[in-house]
Amino acid sequence: MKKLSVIALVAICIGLFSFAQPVTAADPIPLGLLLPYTGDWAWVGAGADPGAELAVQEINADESLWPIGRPIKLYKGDTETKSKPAIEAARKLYDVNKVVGIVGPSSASIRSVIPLSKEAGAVEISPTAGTTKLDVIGGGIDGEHIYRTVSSDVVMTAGMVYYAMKTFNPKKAATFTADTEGSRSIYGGVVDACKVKGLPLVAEIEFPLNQASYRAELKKLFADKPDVIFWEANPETDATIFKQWYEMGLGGQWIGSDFANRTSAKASLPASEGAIGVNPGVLEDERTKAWGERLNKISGKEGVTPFSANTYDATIIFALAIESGKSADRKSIVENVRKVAQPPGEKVYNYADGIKLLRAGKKINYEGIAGTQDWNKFGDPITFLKVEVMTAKDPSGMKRIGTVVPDDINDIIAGVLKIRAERGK
Amino acid sequence: MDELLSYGLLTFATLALPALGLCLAIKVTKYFNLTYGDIITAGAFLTLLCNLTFGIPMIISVIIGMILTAALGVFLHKTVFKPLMDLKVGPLTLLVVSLGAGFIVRNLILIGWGPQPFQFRIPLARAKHIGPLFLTTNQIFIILICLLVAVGIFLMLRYTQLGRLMRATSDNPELSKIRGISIERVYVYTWIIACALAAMGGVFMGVLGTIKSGMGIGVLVTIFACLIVGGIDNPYGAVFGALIIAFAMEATAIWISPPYKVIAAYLLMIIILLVKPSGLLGGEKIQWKYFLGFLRSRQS
Repeated sequence: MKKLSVIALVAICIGLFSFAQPVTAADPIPLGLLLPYTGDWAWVGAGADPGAELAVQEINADESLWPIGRPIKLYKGDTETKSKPAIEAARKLYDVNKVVGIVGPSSASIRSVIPLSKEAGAVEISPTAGTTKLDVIGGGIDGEHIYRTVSSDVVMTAGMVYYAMKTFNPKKAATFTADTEGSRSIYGGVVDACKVKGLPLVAEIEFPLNQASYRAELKKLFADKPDVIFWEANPETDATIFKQWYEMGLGGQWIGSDFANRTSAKASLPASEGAIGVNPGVLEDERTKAWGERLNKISGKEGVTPFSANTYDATIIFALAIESGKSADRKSIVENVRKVAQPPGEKVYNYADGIKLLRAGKKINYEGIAGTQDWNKFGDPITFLKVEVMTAKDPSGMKRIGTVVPDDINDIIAGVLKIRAERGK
Repeated sequence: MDELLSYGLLTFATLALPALGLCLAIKVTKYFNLTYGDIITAGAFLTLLCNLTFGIPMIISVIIGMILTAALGVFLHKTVFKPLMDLKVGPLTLLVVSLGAGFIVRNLILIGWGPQPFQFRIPLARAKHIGPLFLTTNQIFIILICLLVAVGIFLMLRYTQLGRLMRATSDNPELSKIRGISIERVYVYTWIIACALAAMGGVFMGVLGTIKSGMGIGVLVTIFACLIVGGIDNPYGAVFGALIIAFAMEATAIWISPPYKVIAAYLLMIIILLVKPSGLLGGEKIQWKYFLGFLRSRQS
């Protein structure tokens, strides 16, 4: 009994002590990073994570440049690429870790997390969710402060179709996409973009991920011999698909989305030799090159890992929004998040310049690594697209062969939006 | 029809040996071991370790992988399941514990290799028409090995001393013990065979597709479907069930729609459970309900 009393007393003391701790000036600002670290899209989390780590490292590097005099601390949650774990992780981030906002999650779970962010009155910036379901929500409308630092899939699919038409001049095309929300988003974008460009689709095949065999699906896909196949799966499935496609001796040019990346290439080469990925990318300038070198030190990998630039931008925008509002309150971030990344502010290309100008009382417009991050009314940007080809000749598995800029695809995007508007009537 | 035959046989080759191994384990040890899915994965990764990391030729890698996987199975049996069986815990408890053990194995693989998929170091090959089949040399080899191993297991069960001991232990463990059979030794041998078959199944899946940390647990429900369709207590039924499930899945993919092929396996499983719960070739003595603890004792 005496022992129990002592334990209880100690527990009470610890409790009181912890409650009695005031938030001191240098207490870190908790920021949530909610990504799919495991599950089907684990490669998304693995690719995006170093971007946030690098941003926090740069923000915290110089004490004099901490936002409102406090460093940023990341609290990470794993969505497991599923809705339920994503909700649980987001709940923990908001309720237990008291994060001021969330960077993330991906298309697979973002719509499940939006109500929680709305309830918490917090900003959520997704660096990876390209789903077109977000095209008409977010940006602060209806209290949903959802923003993206990655383009909608409408932009990416416009780029895919643009590149196919420009390079291969196909007469027939086909779609081969997984039965996930993200892949359906790609499928919908490709179908509309093909309509805009007058490219007929001879097969539209949807399939479940991670199956041992896709031979039957491939047989159907190639029944009418499409010249180009627009596809999206995941690295595991890509490995199986390309191996079996090669074994079956089928032809066609594969053009993929952001899922046609280095992880996928490493898993599926040499069978996938020549397959092309059109996906969010960074420019090939000096600034990006220097950023890439800093990223490599964090990631321990060569090149720019998938979505790392987008995650970096999202984290920097949070820090600048905190400084802009002189507060780490969620409400203040809500009010300031647009102000630091949009015209008419002075363009800034890194965190340090941004915070110095804010302290000088100036308006800023953060120009990200992944794109300008100028949001439309729904909080969506148009970022640059890079074109890469899978090849075993490159140690990374992919070689960059081109860039698609907004001017190349504006007509397709406009056409797709027109089709969608008419469909919505 | 040609494509159904080719694709059906390939899917069968990936399901048959793990289904047979799991059937033997369930028949002898009398509980569902959900670790089995992750043992399949472990088999593939241990073979990958030899083949990719150490550069050992594929055939030797498979043999080493099977031995290491069998050792893993015996280790799990000795350290986790035997102590619990000695405590006379019910099949439901063992099932839950096996779920946890599988989780540990899966996460160890994830820590060791990460979430990304891998492939064995085998040259790519184009499929060729051989009679009604359209397969690569590797695929033909896999189908033949699968059939040979399955036949070998059937012969072992019927004609060897170990087979007789396994059947005796399966029929009545208490009586077997009284007759001087070392039940524990039979359990160990059973796990060695079951895990070696799991490893082989994992390797086949890897050769035909890809190797990843969740591959075994993903296919485990389909393997259970094979057992339920064929008959949980019948090794012939396990292989027969794999054949039916494989062809049902591929037929659905070819003639209905690819996304429904997994549903076809589960639908078939549900129909069999409703119409003939003991499975097409299963005896009436052991049904699936038994393993969830709904029936009273192990010997009933």
